[in-house]
Amino acid sequence: MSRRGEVLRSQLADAARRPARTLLTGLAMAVAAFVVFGTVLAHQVTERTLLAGLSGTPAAADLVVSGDVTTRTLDAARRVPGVAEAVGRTDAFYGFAGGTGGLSVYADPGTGPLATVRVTRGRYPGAADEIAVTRRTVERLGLAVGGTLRVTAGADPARSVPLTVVGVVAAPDDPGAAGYTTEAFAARLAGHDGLRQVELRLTPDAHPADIAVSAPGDGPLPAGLVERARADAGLDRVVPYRASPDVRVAGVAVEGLAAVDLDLRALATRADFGASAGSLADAGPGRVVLLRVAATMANTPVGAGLLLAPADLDRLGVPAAPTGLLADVAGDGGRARSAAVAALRAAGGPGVGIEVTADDRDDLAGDLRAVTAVLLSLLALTVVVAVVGVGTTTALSVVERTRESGLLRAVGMSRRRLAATLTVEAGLYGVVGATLGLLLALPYGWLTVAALGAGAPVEFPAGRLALVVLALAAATALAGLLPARRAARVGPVTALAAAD
Amino acid sequence: MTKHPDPAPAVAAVDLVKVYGRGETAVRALDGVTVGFRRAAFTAIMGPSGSGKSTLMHCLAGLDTATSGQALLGGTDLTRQPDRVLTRVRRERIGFVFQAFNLLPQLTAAQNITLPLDLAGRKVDPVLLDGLVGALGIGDRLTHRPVELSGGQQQRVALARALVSRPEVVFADEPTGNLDSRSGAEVLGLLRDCVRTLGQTVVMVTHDPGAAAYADRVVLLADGRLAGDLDRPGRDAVAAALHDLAVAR
Repeated sequence: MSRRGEVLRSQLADAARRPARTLLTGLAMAVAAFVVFGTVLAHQVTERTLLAGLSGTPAAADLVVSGDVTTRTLDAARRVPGVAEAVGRTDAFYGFAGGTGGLSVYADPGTGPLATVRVTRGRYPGAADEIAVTRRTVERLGLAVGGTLRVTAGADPARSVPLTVVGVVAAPDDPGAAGYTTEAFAARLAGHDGLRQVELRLTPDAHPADIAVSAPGDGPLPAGLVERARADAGLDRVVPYRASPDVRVAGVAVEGLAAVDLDLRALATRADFGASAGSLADAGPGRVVLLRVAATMANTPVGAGLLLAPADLDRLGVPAAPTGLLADVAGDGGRARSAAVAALRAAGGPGVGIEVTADDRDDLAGDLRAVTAVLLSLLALTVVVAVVGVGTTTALSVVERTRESGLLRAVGMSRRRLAATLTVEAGLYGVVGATLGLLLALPYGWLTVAALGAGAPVEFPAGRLALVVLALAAATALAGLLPARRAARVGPVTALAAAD
Repeated sequence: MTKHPDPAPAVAAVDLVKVYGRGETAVRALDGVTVGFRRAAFTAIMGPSGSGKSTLMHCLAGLDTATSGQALLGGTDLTRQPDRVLTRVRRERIGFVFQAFNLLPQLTAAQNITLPLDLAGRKVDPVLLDGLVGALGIGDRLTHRPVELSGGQQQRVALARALVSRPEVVFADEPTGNLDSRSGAEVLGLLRDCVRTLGQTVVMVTHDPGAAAYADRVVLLADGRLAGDLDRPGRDAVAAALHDLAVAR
């Protein structure tokens, strides 16, 4: 048996011997952990709803492509750099074979941020002929997981397809005759590859430059504005660009998409554009870079969906004159910003739109900071209370077991190891508490998300939660360190003489 | 009295002084004790309460540090060693048997026995362990926890724990103090057996003349000084010597 194993064995045995003590102490930590986990989840929700509220776009879908879209459009979209996820939506009604009524079948990924349904029983369809239905559908149609439905598909009413119910899902609305399955099977069922729409989730956020200037209407900027802006000492990194609002991708009009030849590499905040698929360095003639148009990108001065090389815009027949420019303010603070705005206004004359995006960005960041600060201070208080509780319990436990400590020292446990053993024990309380708290907080966090109706799928931020468990264990171990060191300093004779 | 009464003692005290407290309230628990304990012998330290017998044992066993003088364990002076070394000495060279057994309640008898080896990261010699367990008659109690054992059984487990690391010397502090007379006699008999059969050196502190009568030699202390040295005394001889000490005071 290794030394470490011995210590742990002894501690675990002790915890098992006094389950009430371990549980009660764990409870103090559980309360703290509960709050911590609840806060982590609530913070996610807050962040999401705040951003979603500001941008007015759905939480996860950044771009919606509709019109004449097919599964080929979907495959093409998936290959575009900057697209993290793409799903196709279809819905079609199928009558029951040899009976009245029928079932609406929707395509949905079933998991991930773009899923609109969540499996509550069984599993999500993965293969052909499999379907998941809503709870009401189960009740109304008297179905069970594992049961089979026969629907008529296609033009031929005699052609019937058996569908195996593999799961029950919770959907945003539940009319009582709805089934969900994969895109592939939905398309096969429909007998064609047409999609109602394609939803894209793009790779994360971009921050704009400080100031955005746009031309009146869709026309070009006043002549000489770019040159004067470049000459102004109050401005840095003046980047002109052209925007063309009418772009069709493979003959498909895309909502919220404007083609722009902005050179991202010229912006100071280019690192924030974070192309997680593909690289900005790859952008060039004939290539397209997609930008996110949700959340913080609601502040994009450009509102760009497509970034193109200037040569491509030329080929599209867009006039050479710039239609807007982005600039960074050279100095810090509101005064430098105001001076720069005044200079641009003087240079551009009336009619030129000037948006100080830095202000919006600061406001948004300020709101988030305030919410986070309130949450964090509540959190800190709870954790302090819990850690003090564990410290007290450990101190008590140490006093109670002075004789045991003395014996361990007498038979040859070093001071350092005795202190380590007692500290590990305190840390165990943290682990017990954090685990209890986690079990309590997960349903709570889920309820919060459901109650806020944020429409956000519940995520399980495993990495962050594991970090919190570790941090709590470390905090409680730290709380146990002081009494443990005190116990280790007592001589073995004194400790052995202590009354029980 | 000579400085070295024994040519090669397992344990020896030389001019050992232990002072508790400071200034006017200082107490000289040991006041210049010089005594040696032979190898493979069973020696009892006796004396009235406050005679310093427990203090002498603690200093010789590296549980406490003396104020001056030497506490020699096989030539090592324990009074000059830092805590780190004393810890090691206790773990590897000394075995303890206490009045209150001092078994860890959360461990089984077997785990309690091997605790010193586990702490030292050493392997248990299964032959030695089997022999000890058999000799001590606790073979059927190994999976029990201390609360499930009688006092005599607990003390025998404690004895096995003291012997399992093959220490140079076993110190027993009032090992029969918490036992009824029958269990006490059994434990004393076992202590004497391990001196006879294993050649173990045993030093026992006791105030019971009956217990001391099991020893090969009885060392008497009074007021922190050596007050007598009896070779293989009977129970009555020990009682008489103790009585004389009490009268002399």
